[in-house]
Amino acid sequence: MRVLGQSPISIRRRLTLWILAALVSFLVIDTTVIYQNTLQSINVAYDRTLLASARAIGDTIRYEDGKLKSSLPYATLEVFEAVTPGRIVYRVNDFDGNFLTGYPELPPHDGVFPKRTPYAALAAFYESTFENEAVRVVALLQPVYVGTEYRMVTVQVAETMELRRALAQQALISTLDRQAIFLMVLATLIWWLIERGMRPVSVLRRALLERDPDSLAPITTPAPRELKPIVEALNEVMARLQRVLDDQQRFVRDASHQLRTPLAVLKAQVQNAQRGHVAPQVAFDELAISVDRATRVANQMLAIAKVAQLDGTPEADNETTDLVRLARDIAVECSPLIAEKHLDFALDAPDGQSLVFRGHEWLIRELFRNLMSNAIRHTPRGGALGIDITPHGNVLLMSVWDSGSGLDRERWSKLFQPFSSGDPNAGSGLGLVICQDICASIGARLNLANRDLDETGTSGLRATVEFSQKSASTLEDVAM
Amino acid sequence: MGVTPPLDKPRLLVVEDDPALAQALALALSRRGFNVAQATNGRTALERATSESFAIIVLDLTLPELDGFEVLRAIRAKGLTTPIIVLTARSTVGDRVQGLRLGADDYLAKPFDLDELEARLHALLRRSNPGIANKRDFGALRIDEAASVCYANGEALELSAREFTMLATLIEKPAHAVTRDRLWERVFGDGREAQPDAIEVVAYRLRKKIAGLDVELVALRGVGYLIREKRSE
Repeated sequence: MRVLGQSPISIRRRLTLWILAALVSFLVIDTTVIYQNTLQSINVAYDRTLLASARAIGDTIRYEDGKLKSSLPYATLEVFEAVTPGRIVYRVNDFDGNFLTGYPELPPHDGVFPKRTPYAALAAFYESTFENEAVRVVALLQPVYVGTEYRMVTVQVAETMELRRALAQQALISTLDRQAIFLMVLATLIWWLIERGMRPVSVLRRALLERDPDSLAPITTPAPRELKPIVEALNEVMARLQRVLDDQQRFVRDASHQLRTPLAVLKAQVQNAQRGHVAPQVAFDELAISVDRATRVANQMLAIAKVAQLDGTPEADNETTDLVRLARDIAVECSPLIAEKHLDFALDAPDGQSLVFRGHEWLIRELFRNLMSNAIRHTPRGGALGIDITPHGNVLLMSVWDSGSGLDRERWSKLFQPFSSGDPNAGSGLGLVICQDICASIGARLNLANRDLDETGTSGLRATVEFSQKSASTLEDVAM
Repeated sequence: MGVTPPLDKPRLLVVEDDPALAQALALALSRRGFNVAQATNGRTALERATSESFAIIVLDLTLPELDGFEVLRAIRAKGLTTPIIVLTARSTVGDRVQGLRLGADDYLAKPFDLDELEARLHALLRRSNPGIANKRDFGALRIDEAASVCYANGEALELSAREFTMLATLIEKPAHAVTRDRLWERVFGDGREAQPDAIEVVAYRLRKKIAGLDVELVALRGVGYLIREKRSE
């Protein structure tokens, strides 16, 4: 089931991955900081020793007979080297910065001395290279008394960095060990917690899987607040499906009855004719009526199916229909029936105006075809009927009127029930159901009203479709 | 190709897979003056349509082996211009449009009226072969289009050219309304000088001239006109 975006990855895996990624980045930063701090602590500790060596060397320098002399005992250096696994070298520069004693390969200090140091001495610590090896160097300004004043010589002591590195590495490894264990424990904990948190989902899933596949009953499994909307939506979909299914079942039941009745009538009529019970001409007339009835029912049922199929499709929503042209088309289409019954038809529409409505043309055509067919059927031979179209403010009224008997009180109540037509010779009663379905689908309203008695003393029915401005988005005047 | 000598019966190819309907159609159409050949599937239909000569092909859309649309497309692809009338139980607008686009000349939804089918067949014959059926009868009227004369009970009616055109147009589809716009087109052509209600004037005169006959001109107000036989009561 693809619910979350495009990727079907599970929420649990996704959450765990994200949390672990955040955790790992945090640990990497943490470890880096810890390593830097460790390195600094090691440097501070060992720089002190380095400074002590520089001092010891500096103390051996004397100014005698106008010359600088260093009486560094080799033992001193050995003492220094004994406490470190690396090498220790030194260099002393005279007052003018020229090499005095020690290792000339050690580059002279060319930086500045910091004004404040943590030690009570003018000393600078820096990293340099000696014989292609990285070394930590201290440069110390050592005052030497030259009789009248003190002058400064520079003492540099350099130490290779094996020890410091080894210590830092050791600290790093132990940090990493701890972090790894920490991470594993946390990952397991997170996985388990998420698993626990997600349990309602699997409970719901199991409940759904265990349902009767035909059941459309609402889901009653308790769900946490986050899942409630989904459960409610599911229940709503199922309720809608249930309604559609109910409608369909009722429709199929009614429809099969309605289709079988004319077929049964046909069969009886054929048998009567075969046995000679009725005159052939009478039998044929009866048969023709029955066939027409079955045809009409079949067509109407297909129309209902098509209305349902078109409902809400973009095709149905984006089409526009010129109502005046449509009314004229329908009149032409129905003209053979009008001619046959010698009816007096009139289309009354505003002159030179095309009234456009946004809605699927087939639907509106089917709507008025049904209303016209009703009107023709109910109007007595020679009677009058017609279509009126009147723009009325924001509303467009299109009505079909006839001069039949209108509707009595009893028939009003059953008007929109399928297959409830009062008159067995009249339609199936599906026509108005179709009309109402279509009106609901295109956002129009259907009103039926008995007409007042006119001057000829007949009344009849007026079926008015109200296309509201909301759906009739364009009422354009078009010069014809 | 499809050219039938005027005195012969027009030859039809009826393509229909339902045997009962095929038989009923063949009987009805041969009684109504057609020479009927049959095919019960798409492949045979295509073979016969391409190897023989027919005035009209009556084609069902739902066929075994080769769909009616395919037959239609194949026939037109071979350059045959034989008029084709499509019969179908699929009465959706989409099917109709597709059928007409693929080259069908007319379209009739099942179940249909045999009289309607006959009228459509004659209309197609007239269209594809204007020489043969230029005399038409309606009630007491006989229209001779070639001579532009209309006879009432055998005697020539005195009609103006416009009245004759209007009457002939209406009789093409008896008892079926023709819109004012269409009548205007036929009667006045692109005559822009005519008044908007000129068609009503022509109709008024025509109505007076056929007043005593068994046919009458009926107005569908706001729509157009039709001609029908008078009530026989």
